Amino acid sequence: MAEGKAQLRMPMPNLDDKVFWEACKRHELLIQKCKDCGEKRFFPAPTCTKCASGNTEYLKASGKGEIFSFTTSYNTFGPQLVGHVPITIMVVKLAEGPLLRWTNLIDCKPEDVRIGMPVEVVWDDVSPEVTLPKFRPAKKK
Amino acid sequence: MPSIKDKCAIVGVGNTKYVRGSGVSTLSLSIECSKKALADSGLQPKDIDGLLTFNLGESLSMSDLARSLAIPQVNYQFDITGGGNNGSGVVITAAAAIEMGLATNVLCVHAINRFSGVRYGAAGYDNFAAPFGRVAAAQMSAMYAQRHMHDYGTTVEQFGAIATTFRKHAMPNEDALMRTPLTMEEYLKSRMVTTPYRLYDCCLETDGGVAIIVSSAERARSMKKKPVYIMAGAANTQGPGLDLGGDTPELYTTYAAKYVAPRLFATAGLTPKDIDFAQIYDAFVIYVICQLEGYGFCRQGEGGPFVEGGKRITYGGELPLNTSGGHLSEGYVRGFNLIAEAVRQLRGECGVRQLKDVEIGLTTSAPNPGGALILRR
Repeated sequence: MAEGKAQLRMPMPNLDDKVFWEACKRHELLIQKCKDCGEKRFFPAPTCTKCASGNTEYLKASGKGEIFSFTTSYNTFGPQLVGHVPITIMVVKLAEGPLLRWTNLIDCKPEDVRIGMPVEVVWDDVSPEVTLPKFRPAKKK
Repeated sequence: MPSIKDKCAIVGVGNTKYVRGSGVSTLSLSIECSKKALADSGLQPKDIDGLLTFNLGESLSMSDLARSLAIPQVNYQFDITGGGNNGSGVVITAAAAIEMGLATNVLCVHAINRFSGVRYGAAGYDNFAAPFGRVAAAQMSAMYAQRHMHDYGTTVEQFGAIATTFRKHAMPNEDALMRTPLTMEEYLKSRMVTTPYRLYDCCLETDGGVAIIVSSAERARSMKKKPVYIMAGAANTQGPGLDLGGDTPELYTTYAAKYVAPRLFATAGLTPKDIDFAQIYDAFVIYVICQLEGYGFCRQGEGGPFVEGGKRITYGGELPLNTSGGHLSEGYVRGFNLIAEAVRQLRGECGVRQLKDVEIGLTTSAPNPGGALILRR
């Protein structure tokens, strides 16, 4: 553990989400699409939340979306977030439709965060084994 | 269609004091509140043949409890996985077991050392939570609150009305953890935990236990205390595709209440207008607002104005809520203390905080999946 900073627990990929986490290492944000009814979903799961079909494909999401909801934590909840606060945790409504939960907003002051704010994915290469999808305010073209 | 309506009754309730630092095990807390519930009901340990509890990472062995209470034979026992959304469901599950002849008198217990034992955020694992610092339920709930404020203009003063009103309710309650007054000014000055939640928007990390004994309505009529009948109940209902994390926008504004309410009121043959008081699951303030909407006490988005100023939700108001202080000020025993308070209100045992002429009360468990009970005297 770095001095004064708590180690956040990293993902332990399982049989349902390992494809997602592997793709993160390639900087690809995957969502799932039902090949029967077309419903797009997040987070990774074996079957469609609309029709329960297991006929699934992965789609590369654009990485664009907007903030659906968020919270900025100032409390460290015991030792767990020491060195990480303030931290903004949020749900992103992806341009493709599904809600992505949860992720972090970076490069934005807590007082500037708003629901509806356009955001884009940015990759946090934590280690050779782990890359986390985070988001920042979308750059204007 | 078969119905649970009025088939069973709550015949005994007991609780420990709600404290920070019980100094004893959850088994000891369970024994203490169970003995009090037994005394309250007039039943002996040998009369209990069903045991139920629920847990999130702090499992209690039903066998240990049965042994510690010297219960000679148990015919029905489960330790159900789940948190605050389970409380009402556990009681209705006991009633269902009794109605089907699986057990006669079921002791439902919940005890936690939430302050001195496993604290918030320390249980469970989710690959999409901890790596992003989403470690506590408060953060998840805060995102619901943020969205409600955005969609409906709900305000921090409305949150504060809940926190300060429930504190007022806890003050005369000798078992409550927080008994000092809380003003709106103090509320607004309290530290930010996770936006938009201030300290007093969050329930209390509590050590304590509550036991509830359920029996058949017929047997209840010859027991020591006036029966409190279970008119209707739901045991962990949810809608399509919903999970606690909020993968569908709906969760942010209605929770399970939307799905529980129609079945609940239909079973009881009642409407929200018939409810004299409610003990609403209040782990966080937004849960109160969303459930007032979801159970039909006001329209969607009007939960904030409903609680504003606190007058409608206190003694003498249109719908008194959480009359013992609730999870925000009495203590947090995952909804079980709310049920105990409803029983005591219906029996008329609440002393200075007793509501006048109450016949029917609602208790809820939330957010999702969720359950509820309608109780009557």
